[in-house]
Order: sequence, then C-alpha cells, then structure tokens
Amino acid sequence: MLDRIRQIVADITQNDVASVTTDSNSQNLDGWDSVAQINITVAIEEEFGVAFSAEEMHALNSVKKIVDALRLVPS
Amino acid sequence: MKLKTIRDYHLAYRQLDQEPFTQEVKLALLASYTNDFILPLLQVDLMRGGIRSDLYKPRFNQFRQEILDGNSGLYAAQPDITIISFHLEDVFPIFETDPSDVAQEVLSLCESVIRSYRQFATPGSQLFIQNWIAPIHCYDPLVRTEFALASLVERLNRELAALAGKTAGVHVMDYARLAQQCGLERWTDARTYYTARIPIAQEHWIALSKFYAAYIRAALGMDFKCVVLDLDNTLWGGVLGEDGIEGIRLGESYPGLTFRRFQQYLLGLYDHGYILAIASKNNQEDVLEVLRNHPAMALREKHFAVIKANWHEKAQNIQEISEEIHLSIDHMLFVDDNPVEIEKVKLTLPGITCLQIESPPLNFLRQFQELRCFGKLHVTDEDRLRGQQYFDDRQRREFKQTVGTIEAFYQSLGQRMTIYTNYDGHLARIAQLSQRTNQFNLTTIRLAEADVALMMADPDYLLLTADLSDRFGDSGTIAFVQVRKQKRVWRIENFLMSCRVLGRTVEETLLNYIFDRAAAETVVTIEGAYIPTKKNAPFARFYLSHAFSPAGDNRYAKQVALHEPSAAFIEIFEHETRMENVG
Repeated sequence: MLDRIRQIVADITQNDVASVTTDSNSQNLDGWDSVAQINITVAIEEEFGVAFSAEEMHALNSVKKIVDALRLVPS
Repeated sequence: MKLKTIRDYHLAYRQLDQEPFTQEVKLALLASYTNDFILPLLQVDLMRGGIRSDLYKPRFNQFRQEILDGNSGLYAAQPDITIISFHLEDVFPIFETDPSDVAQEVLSLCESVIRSYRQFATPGSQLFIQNWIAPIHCYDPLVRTEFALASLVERLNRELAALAGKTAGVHVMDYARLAQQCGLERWTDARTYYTARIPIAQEHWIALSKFYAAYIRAALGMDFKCVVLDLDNTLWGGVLGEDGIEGIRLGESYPGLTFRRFQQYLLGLYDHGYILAIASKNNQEDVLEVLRNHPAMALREKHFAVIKANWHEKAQNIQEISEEIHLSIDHMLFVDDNPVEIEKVKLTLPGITCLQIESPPLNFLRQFQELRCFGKLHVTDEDRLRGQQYFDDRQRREFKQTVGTIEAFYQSLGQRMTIYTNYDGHLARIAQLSQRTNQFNLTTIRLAEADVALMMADPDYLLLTADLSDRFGDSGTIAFVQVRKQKRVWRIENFLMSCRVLGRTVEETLLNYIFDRAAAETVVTIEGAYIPTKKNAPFARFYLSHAFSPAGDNRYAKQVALHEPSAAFIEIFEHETRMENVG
C-alpha cells in the first residue's frame, strides 16, 4: 500500500518515486501544493475505493497521514 | 494506454513530451474558480488527438482584469483560443439577493469581454464563453417561478448564445448541457466545492476535459467529414445475401428498431453536412433494392455520396471512395460490426479512424459521442446542402462516362457561376472553406471569421467567392480568392476551391475573371503565391501551367497584357450587391 501511495504522490507532484518517502509532506516535497493536494486525495480515493470527508481532503497532507487514514478504513 | 481514471491521465501527462503531434495550439483558460485540475487532463486529451498545447492560466478569478486590460498577460501570451468559465455566484454576489437586475449585468459583462477580446487579441484568435448552471445553493421551487434563479439562468444562456452569434470567432461553450448530460445532482461534489472551490465533482473531470477538447478540435477545424458504413449487421440486422430483403432485421421492434434508430442518427449527421458512403460485401443490386424499397430504411440511395457494394477488400473500396469524392482518408470514419474487417482496413489504411459498432447497435449514441469528433461551431447553408451535392456529383460522374470527349462533357453540363465581391453573407463560408480545403488550396492559410471580416472591411482587399450550378444541381459556394490590391500589382494571396468541383474548369474561369478585372483597373502584373504542403502537391504547377513565371519566394508573376483566356465552359454572373472598392 505504501508503494502505491508513493507512486501516486510522485506522479502528481512530478517527482521521482525514490524521492517520495513516508516522511514526505506538503511542506517538504516540491510540487505538493494546494492543487496537488486535491489531486492526490482524489487519486487515492480512486485507487483504493475510499471516500474522504471534506476535512480529510484538506488535512491528509503527508504520506504518513494518508497511510494512517487508509489503515482505518475497513477493506 | 487506455485513459480511464484520473490516475491514468496523470501517468500519461508525465510522458506527454514523447507523444507525436501534428498541430500546436496556444490556449488560455480563465476561470472564476479553481480549474487547475483540468489542465493535465486537457493536455493529455488534446495530445491524443495530435494537438500539442501551450497553456496560459492566470490565478483564479482574475479573468476580468486579464481580459479587459490590453496590457495583460493574456494578450502577451497571444492565445489562439481562450476559454472563459465563470460561475455566476463567484462574480455577482448580488445574485443571491436581487436576481432581476443581474441578468443585464451579466450580459453587459459578456459584451465588454467580447469587445475587449476583439480589440486586444490577435486577429483570428477565438473566444469561448462557457454558459451557466444555477448555483448549487439556490432554491429551485417545484413549479419554476419566473424569479427562480434556475429560470433566470435559462434565459441568460439563451441571450448569451444570441450575443456570441453576433461576433465572428466568439462561441458559447455549452457547459449547461454537459452538466445536464452527466446529471446535475452529481455534478458538484460539496467537499471539493467548499474546501477547494472546485465546482465539478471528480467523477466528471474526464468528461469535462473531453468536452473542452471537442470544442478546441472544432475550433481548429479538426472534424470528420465522411462516415463510411458497412451494411450487414451495421445498418440492418442479418445478412442480406442470406436473409433477403424480407428477412433482414429493420423496423419497429427489437432488434430492428436499434438499427432504424441508428440510421436516423446518421441522417442527423447527413443533415449537418457530413457525407455518408457505403463499403460493404454485398451484391450491388440487392443493396439498391433495399435502399429503394425497404419500408423501414431511414437512409435512402440519395443520402450516399458513393455506394461500393461488391466483393473487393473494403480497404480498396474506401480508397476508391476517397479518390472519387476527393477526400483524404484521415477525414473519414469507417464503421463496421466486424473486428476482422476493421483490423484489415486499419492495416492497409493507417490514417483512417475505425469504429467497431455493437450489433445490434444499442449503444451507438455513446459510441459516437465517445469519438467526440463530430463537431462544428457553425452549420452553414452549405452544410445543409452538402449531401444533395455529393449525390448530384455521383450522377455527374455517371453522366461523364456516357459523354465522348471532356469538352463535350463540359459543354453539356451547362455550368453557371455567380461571383461575389467582398460579400459579407459569405463570411462563415469563407472561413469554413479555408479550414476544410486541403488539396486545391494554394497557400493553406487558415482563416477565422474574424480575419475574413477584417479583410472585407479593408479597401485594399478583393475577396471573391463563387457559387456554381449546372444541370445536375447547385454546388453552392465552392471557391474563394483573396487578392491584395496595389496600384500596379495585384497579389493573389489565397486561392482555394472545394475539391468537389475539381475538373470542372472553375479555377481557369476565376483566373480569367481576375485578369479581366485587373485589366479594367489598369493593373500591370498579377502575382500568385503557392506554398507547398503535404496535400496540395497536385497543384504545385498551377501558376506555371497558366504561363506565370517564377518570381522567387513561392511567388509567380504574369503581365496582365499577356494573359490569353482559356476556353470558357462556364457562364459568369456577377452578384448584384457587388461593392466597388475605393482606391
């Protein structure tokens, strides 16, 4: 799951997947701006078949938070 | 790679630089809301259609400043196409309280947007204004009152369409219809609307991108011109050779009804100027019998420009159709239910687009809509007549075979040409001819209506258009010549003619006419330009073969006094509202 998330983040922010880690977030990763934020959450919804709340779309601004949020979702 | 999810698009977007393209376009997208999400999708969709795009996009809700100020970044970017999308509630806060006055405010904003754009944008640049849906928060009463916002929005959309229709190169983008097609209730996702000001739900982003791409393709004149159809299990159910005219499935019950509805859809394309042709493996006489006598056929013999029902390979038949109606393969769509036939055609004719239609064609509408390639921004009178004209051409070709010499053929046609000078009733048609004509198009300078309007108002330009008719029918407006007049030299900057009337001496007649008028105005020299393209090579020697001499730089020149008119097979009439240019 982590790798799929890293790949999505890398694709949307136009980064090499190697440079995206669990610690990557909107503060330290180039290209993770407010538009990328929406694109990332939307792509995660699409990829994992989940639906986030409005608050989550806003708040899930790091790889770690996304991983944690997905772990909470029963699959 | 298939593009099904947003993620597919983002992956494709990363590879965008490696894709081949045939055309480039500079786009500007101005919006009152966050529209960044559409950018990578749109660039990918356009690239799939062979269009590489450069995007200009200011920060959101800057569109008024950008468009009203001649020194803005928008005009510095010199876009070919600008799309303005604003939501009423973003621009008119008053919209919530006092709808009655707002209509006028919205329309005057649109008017000043159009005026500024025409004033500051490069000539020929095209503008799209997206129409509106009612804001998501407005109360929509069970019975729609006149003062319900939804009613107001409907009225605004009608008036916007009328407004855009008045200015060349300005079009409405019918966003309201797309939202309706996708379903208004699910059009907006409240989460992205309230947190990020994105008013379009993610599930519709791809549809919106394809919708934009369709308008852009239409603005660039990239449109199919002809649909080549298989017959058995495509236009009717069953195999005619086995089931016979009584046995094929076509009528008012399933599955015949699906075929009948599909034919009616094709009839709609025909009415809008798309050409229909048949390439099928059948006996010609059997096919004609169905076309003439089957009671449930919506399509008849007269709707087809060419009928190739024989046992040759379909690729060969399509090739012959292309030659007979002078239309290149890449403007054709081939429709067949049989995947093997489709693969064979694709192999032989790589430029063609193929559609494997379901049989019975329950979902033909979706299949055609997904192509997003039947799009015109204007339907001209010419379009409405086109089908009839191709049918006339078919009769002409058959007649030609019965007449001995080519001269006798010309004589017996009884051709009449009406020549118009700077006639503004032909604005749209001139732009359309310049966009559509590829073969007899000596410079291939594409013109938008706005370009034509500018030249028409310029006394230094002589813009000639010609209508042609003969004993078989009316061919409509088929040629355009753009002459720049200087005192002693006239330059033919653009000379183009519909390929339908190739081989009917139209070009010679027009050339003679230009020389006559030049002589009357004591012009000494006429110059013509020929700029080679992939498609106009057959006419590379046009000026040379009419005794012009090379004058360097793609130009050819001839003394007016030396012109000897060739034999005249066409009777000329001058349109009576001819305006004499000053000077």
